[in-house]
Amino acid sequence: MIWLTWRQHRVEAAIVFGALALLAAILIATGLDMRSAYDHLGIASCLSATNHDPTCPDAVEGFREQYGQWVSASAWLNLIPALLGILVGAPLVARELEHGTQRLVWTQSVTRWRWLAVKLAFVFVGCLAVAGTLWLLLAWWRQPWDTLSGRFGGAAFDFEGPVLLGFVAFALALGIASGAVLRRTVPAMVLMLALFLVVRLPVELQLRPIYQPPLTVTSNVLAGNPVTRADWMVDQQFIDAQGHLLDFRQVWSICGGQGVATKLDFLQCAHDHQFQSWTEYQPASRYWTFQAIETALYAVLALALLGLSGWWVRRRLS
Amino acid sequence: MSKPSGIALETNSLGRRYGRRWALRDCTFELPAGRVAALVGPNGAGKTTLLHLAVGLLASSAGTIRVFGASPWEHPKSVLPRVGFVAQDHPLYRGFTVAETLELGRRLNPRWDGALALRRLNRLGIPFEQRAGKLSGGQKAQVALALALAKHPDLVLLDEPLASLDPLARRDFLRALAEAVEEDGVTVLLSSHIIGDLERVCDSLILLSAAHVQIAGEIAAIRREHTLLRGPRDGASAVAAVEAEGMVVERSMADGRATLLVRSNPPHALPDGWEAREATLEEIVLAYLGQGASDLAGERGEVGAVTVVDDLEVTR
Repeated sequence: MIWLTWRQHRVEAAIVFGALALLAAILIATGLDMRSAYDHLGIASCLSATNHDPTCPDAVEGFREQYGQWVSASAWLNLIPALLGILVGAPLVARELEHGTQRLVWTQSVTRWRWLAVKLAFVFVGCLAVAGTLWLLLAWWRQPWDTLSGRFGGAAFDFEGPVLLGFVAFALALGIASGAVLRRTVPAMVLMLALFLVVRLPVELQLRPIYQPPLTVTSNVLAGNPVTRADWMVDQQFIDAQGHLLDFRQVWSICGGQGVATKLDFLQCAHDHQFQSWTEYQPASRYWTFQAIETALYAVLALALLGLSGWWVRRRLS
Repeated sequence: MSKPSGIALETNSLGRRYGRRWALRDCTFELPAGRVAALVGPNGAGKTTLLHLAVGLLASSAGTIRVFGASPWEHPKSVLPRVGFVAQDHPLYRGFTVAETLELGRRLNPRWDGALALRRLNRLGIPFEQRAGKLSGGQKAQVALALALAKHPDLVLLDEPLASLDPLARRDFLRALAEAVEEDGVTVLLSSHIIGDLERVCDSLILLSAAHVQIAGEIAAIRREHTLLRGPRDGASAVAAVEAEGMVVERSMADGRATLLVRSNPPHALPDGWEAREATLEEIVLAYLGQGASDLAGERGEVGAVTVVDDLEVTR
């Protein structure tokens, strides 16, 4: 059964691990480049609170400009779990049903239950290994950048932690279940992608900020950011003396008129109106808790989908 | 190998429903071990459903099916190693070479006899490095059969193995099957809507039509039990007299003559102008299939009813 699984999936394995090797080469090359620029420009020392070197703002800005595009582009790697679900998950059962070969393989001496169990073990071990490698690679690659922007908000959270394994497990299980239920490869791929996005996006945008109630801090608008770079700023608004929250648009309608040329003018105006800065954030200390919560969420979804696949193969495909 | 004993396959009121439609209903028969049985019926009669039930690809909706006493659906671990199955159109992994296909058989079956498969395919000159997708229909069928037989099964189930083969490939396939029967004494159930070739290899018959078993038993006994009577068309009373003697399976009127297929021995005294002879297997099968079809149309019992033989290919 292991031989058969390997024989059937070796092309997929070659594609996946080949692509991973290529990606690793690109990440290592660009990562080394980013690191040498980071050291060369002295960003690390610029970031320390005591450093008031006047060249620092330009150095940091230059670094951001040069590597910001790369970091933005790397967000596309968020599609890797979905691609694994499409390439490996969706055809796993559907391709057999489409070609009628389940009538061949399920009538050898191995029960279809065992057939499915071995296949699942094989593809999950392979794909989770890919996810784990990506996690390590990307955490190393992004490390200089993360000293500027933190890793809690945005794409860094999606890559630097076990949550990446959760995405991959979920995508695979979703692909397999879609294939078993729809019995056709291409529709299963489409359904898998649609459902993946329907879960993945709302979880990141709606649920992730509230796994634990965010902390809030009120501060002088002229005093700069009240939270550190490593914290995740979820929301920032203004608050007036009576404790009412005002969004940027409301403050702009008051302070956005004549004579306000710079950001500083605007903030000075807000300050004059006794507005304070109101910031909602998740402290950096919660990073691994949030990773654990989101990973567990996707693990539960993946297990439920695998249960559905097993039940469907055993009971409904009969 | 010694002849196996007992019942290889038995069904009892077996039925399978897809939604509201019964693909197979109230199916009861026994297939003793050592027999080579033909499962005959028009397309859509439930042959594939019955074979899939027997190999545990399907669960039954009603009744029971047992293979060597065990339910294929509930106990696949005990049934699967004893059953060799060749599905319709003999599915193989298209990207696998013949050698890899045999390797699959070796890896997935504890009673695998690789030498047997090699010998069979070698003799047929099938190239081992060829991908299964590039084989001819006849070669694919032979590879699928070799895979099923190398399992050393006690029961071989073949679903329409002849349907997509040309006459030469058909002959080779039946020859290979006949050899396996002779060497190993396996029990065979093979479905077909081609009647002509079957009598050469089969000793038993199960006739399915309109989701029901019409007749099941040894071919020799079935033929003994059926008689074809021919007589003048105008003698209605004579027809009635003949009918009184036995169960009439089919009546037809052609060329001014009446032909009756009756399920009984020849009557002792035939009316004037009537003659009796033993019916051929093909005549019997066609008569029953016609009966099944007219059951559906609600025309049973009408003298001169048109016999509808739906999609039944007759070759000699």
